Amino acid sequence: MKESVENILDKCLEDIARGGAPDKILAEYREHPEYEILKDALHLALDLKNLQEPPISKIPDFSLIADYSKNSPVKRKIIPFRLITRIAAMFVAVFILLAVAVQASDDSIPGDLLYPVKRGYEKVRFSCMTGDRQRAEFKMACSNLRLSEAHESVKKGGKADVSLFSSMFDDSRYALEKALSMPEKDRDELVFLSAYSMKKQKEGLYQIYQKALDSDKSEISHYVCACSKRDELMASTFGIKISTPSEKGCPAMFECCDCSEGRECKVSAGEIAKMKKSIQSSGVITGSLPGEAKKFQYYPQ
Amino acid sequence: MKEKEPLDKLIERSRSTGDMHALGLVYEHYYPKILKYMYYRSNRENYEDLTAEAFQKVIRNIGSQEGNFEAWLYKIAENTVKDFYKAKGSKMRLEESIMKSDKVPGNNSGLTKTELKMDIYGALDKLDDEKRRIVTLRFIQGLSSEEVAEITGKTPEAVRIMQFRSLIELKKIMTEENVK
Repeated sequence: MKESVENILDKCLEDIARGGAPDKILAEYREHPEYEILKDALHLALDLKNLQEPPISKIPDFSLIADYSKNSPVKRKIIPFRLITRIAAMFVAVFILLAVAVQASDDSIPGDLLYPVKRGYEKVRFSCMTGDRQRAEFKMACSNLRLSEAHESVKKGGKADVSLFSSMFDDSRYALEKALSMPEKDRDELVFLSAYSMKKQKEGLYQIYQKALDSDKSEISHYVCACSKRDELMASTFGIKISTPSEKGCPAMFECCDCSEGRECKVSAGEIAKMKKSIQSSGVITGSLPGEAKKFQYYPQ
Repeated sequence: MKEKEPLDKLIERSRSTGDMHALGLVYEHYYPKILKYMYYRSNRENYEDLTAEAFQKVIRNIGSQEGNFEAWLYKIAENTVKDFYKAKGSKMRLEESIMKSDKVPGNNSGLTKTELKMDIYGALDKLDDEKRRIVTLRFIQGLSSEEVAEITGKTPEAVRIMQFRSLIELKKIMTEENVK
């Protein structure tokens, strides 16, 4: 195996340093395939070796340097401070950047560049929450937000993202399940709010259905039906029935569900406001809750 | 060899007892070497100040020095250059000063001595910092590849490869400059 040109160059330099003649040393490698490169490199190395010495008149007195070294301040202490300042500035910049991104992502909808930031921030916020009630309320808000996003997407002429409806159902169920595991006062209030939120979601979903592209309608209709069934289950399980005057045009045309109960305006919007006020002040709700709440399935079939 | 032994002893004495007289003799021995290193690693206006600064650091830290003194000294010199340019906030540059023009005997490239030096300085300036450091230590300072490896923290094999590549790159830069 042939010796590498890097090692040959090093060997030549060592031989020259020991007093060998460059041309004579090089001649030994005349047959090497990289002889020309080796020759150029060696000549350049010798040129570098013969570069001029720096002009030097007199070596400065050592005692002066020693005295100065004792009296001069040690500069190193400045460096950590500068480093800390830089790191702090970097953190502040990153924090500001994140805050701006989160703020800007507030109105984003699926497909927007900042939408993942919005969802990521939601996850972070949720994982930072410790109270059950806080978590339940947050999930309820998220559930409504998904519906708003779907509504916004359709309004802009886009395709309805059905994964948003799934998230809406998931979050809503999480909120209800969390509510059921809580002490009586909080449970009653949150179950009622869940029921109210579900009712509003059903209306919203129906509006989306009306505005959606024809190709999407069939899929959305399953979710509207599921909403109707969810209302029924809320009524049969907890005895809570909420109908609002704005619910005109309830999707009775869907054969897959029977929502005739839901169409009756048992509670007016004014009464709902009154109920909510009553809940906030006393924690008592209209309607009856069974002692033992059941889990139920209200996903689209 | 005779000179080296007392130098080793002088270094040991300055290290263990803080003997300033011994350190003064060590300083006198290494001053020209470090001055030359600073000359080719920095802008040629500041090399004397940088050399003095490097020796001030040596005086302050000689008590904690361990291992090869020369390698330690070159590391201090390198850090002094880097700190200087960091504080100055400028890129390391070798100044292209005008030199007296005279023919280089036996130089087959036909360049004048001035042109050759200008060529090399200009080319050195264009090398990346690590390669320039290797070139300065290995060829200009005349250290062995093992010594350069110890100073730079690389293996001798890596130094051999890098020194060869640096020379090829230098040659290429010089050829391109001449074509222009």
